Amino acid sequence: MILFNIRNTILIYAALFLLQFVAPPSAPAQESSGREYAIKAAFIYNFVKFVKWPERELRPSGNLTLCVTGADPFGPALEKLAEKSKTAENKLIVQRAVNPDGAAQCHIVFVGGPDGGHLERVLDAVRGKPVLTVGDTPGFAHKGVAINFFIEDNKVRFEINVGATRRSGLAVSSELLNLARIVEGGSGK
Amino acid sequence: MIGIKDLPIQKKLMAVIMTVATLTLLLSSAGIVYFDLEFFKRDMVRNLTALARTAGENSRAALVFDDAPNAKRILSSLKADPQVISAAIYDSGKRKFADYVRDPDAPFVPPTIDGDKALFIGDHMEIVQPILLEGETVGTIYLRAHLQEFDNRIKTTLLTVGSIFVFTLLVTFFVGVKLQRIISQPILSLAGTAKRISLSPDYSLRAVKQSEDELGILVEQFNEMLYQIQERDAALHKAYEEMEHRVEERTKELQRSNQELTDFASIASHDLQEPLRKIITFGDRLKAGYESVLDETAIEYLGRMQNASSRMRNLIDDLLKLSRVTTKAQPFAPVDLNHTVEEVLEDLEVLLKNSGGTVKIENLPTVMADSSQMRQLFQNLIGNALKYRKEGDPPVVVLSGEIIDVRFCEIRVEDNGIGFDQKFAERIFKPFERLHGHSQFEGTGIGLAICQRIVLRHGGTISAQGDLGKGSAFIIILPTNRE
Repeated sequence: MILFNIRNTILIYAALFLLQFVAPPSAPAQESSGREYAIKAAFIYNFVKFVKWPERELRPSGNLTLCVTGADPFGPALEKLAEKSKTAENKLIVQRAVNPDGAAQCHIVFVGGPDGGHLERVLDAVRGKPVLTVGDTPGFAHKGVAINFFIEDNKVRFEINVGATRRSGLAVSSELLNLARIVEGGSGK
Repeated sequence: MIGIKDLPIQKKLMAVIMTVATLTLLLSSAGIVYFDLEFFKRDMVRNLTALARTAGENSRAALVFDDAPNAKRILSSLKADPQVISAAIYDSGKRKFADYVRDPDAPFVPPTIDGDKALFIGDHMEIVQPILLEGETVGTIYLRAHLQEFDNRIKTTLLTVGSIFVFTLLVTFFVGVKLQRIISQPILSLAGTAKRISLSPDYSLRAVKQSEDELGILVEQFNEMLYQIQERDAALHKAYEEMEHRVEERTKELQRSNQELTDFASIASHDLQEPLRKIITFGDRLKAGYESVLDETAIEYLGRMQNASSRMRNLIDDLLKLSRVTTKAQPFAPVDLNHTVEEVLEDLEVLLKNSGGTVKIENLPTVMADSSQMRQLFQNLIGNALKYRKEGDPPVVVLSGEIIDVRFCEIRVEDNGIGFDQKFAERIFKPFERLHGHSQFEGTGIGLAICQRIVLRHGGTISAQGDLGKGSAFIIILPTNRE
């Protein structure tokens, strides 16, 4: 019973911990707590470990470029990631406020919501290119974004558009797929 | 091991074989059990470590993307392995992230864990493995497995090894029983032969040689020894028979010549007595009828003649007595020697009175004997004792008897007379042997010869001890009961 209590206590604390930074679905992104985006930034950093880029795309430096287009809700979280990645296998280089049309030069593109027409431009720019598109706006995955964050039970979860990843030539680990909600769509664009 | 020395050789060999086999089996069984269980344990650790690592790898994405339900689902897949009791994943902050328990009634998952280890604790084992993602530790997996399989393995191994142990011991026993005969059979056969020979000395028996080893040599030597004993035994037997035959012949010869001698002595004495009697008779008549007409010289010659005739009569009488010891023997009857000596003393009354001597009788036995010969024996010995007395010293004769054992008694006749030199102790028993001249002591020199003959005829011995000038002792040993 004591163990059970401890587990319960831990769960309650975890829930409270998550509740602090998970915003209600209706709230605008910029009003969300910085913690939510810290988690999302960490997730993006971890995606790198479960997604394989073709070898040639990483040469010669082995660096990965993370671009942000549209609204940028991350604040200093991305810089912290970049700092952290210096010792990792693939160093992360952050570029903010990137022109949606030039997204093909990036390895990862975070498409900030809501869609102000830039989503279409990004998807057009990276079509057939090994660029991982990430969003956190409901419906983006259906439109062709590879990985899209959403909130479920006060936790950050993500969905993966398997068609989009396959078309971009990226190999997404089954471990990652196991955790994601699989969606389809956006192939016609 | 006490008493193994006294066991029969077959049991001894079996004891040695079985002891060695049991020791060997015990040591090898212990080794097998130890290594089997040790390898099994190592295998178990390796398998469970691999299981933990796989589960950890599978759940690292769930861990980094904070997906506890997925992690729990992955851990649940461990229920496929019945050994796993519980498992848990901890995040990089060592907090429990997800867990799995097989039996919800008895859950055990530590709240926090760290490190990399495999431990056997009581009835279960614990494995802790770090979860790595691109070289970075992103969490820890904990696995707890019960040791049912290990316990089963112990049982199986012990049962298997135990069965082999018992079976091998049985096989060893039966093979040992057969093989020990190689050594024990020749020894037993040898021992049996030796025993048969000692029971009935049949030296023609031989042990059977069964091998060319030391035992074979032993059997060969034993047989060789038997052969030699057989030869010697035969030679001995032959010599004995020859000896017996020779003794028999010699005895017959001796008896014959003895008889002849006795006959001769008897006849000669009788024949000598007749003319002697005439010499004495006519000598007496000559002296009685013609003493007045004979001159002094003639009378002296006549006297000397009569003296010599008288000595010759005594001599012949004694010779006759000697020969009569064997020719005129009486059958044996119980004789009380005290009584015999008393009678002898009556006969010697005059001599005793003249010499002033005394005779002491101490405890003489009763023997089976010819009573007249016993009388003759003591008459001679006591007579001698009184006769060879020291000048001016009244003779004292002591007769004493003693039972030596069941069959023999010893009679001593001791005196305080003139004694004799010990070197003549044997000679004095020979007929006509005299140590003193006629003028000194009268006698024919046959008395002791008669004594010896009587004692020998009774199956006894007589010997003499002399001390010149102090006295002599005659020791007679006689059988008490002659069948």
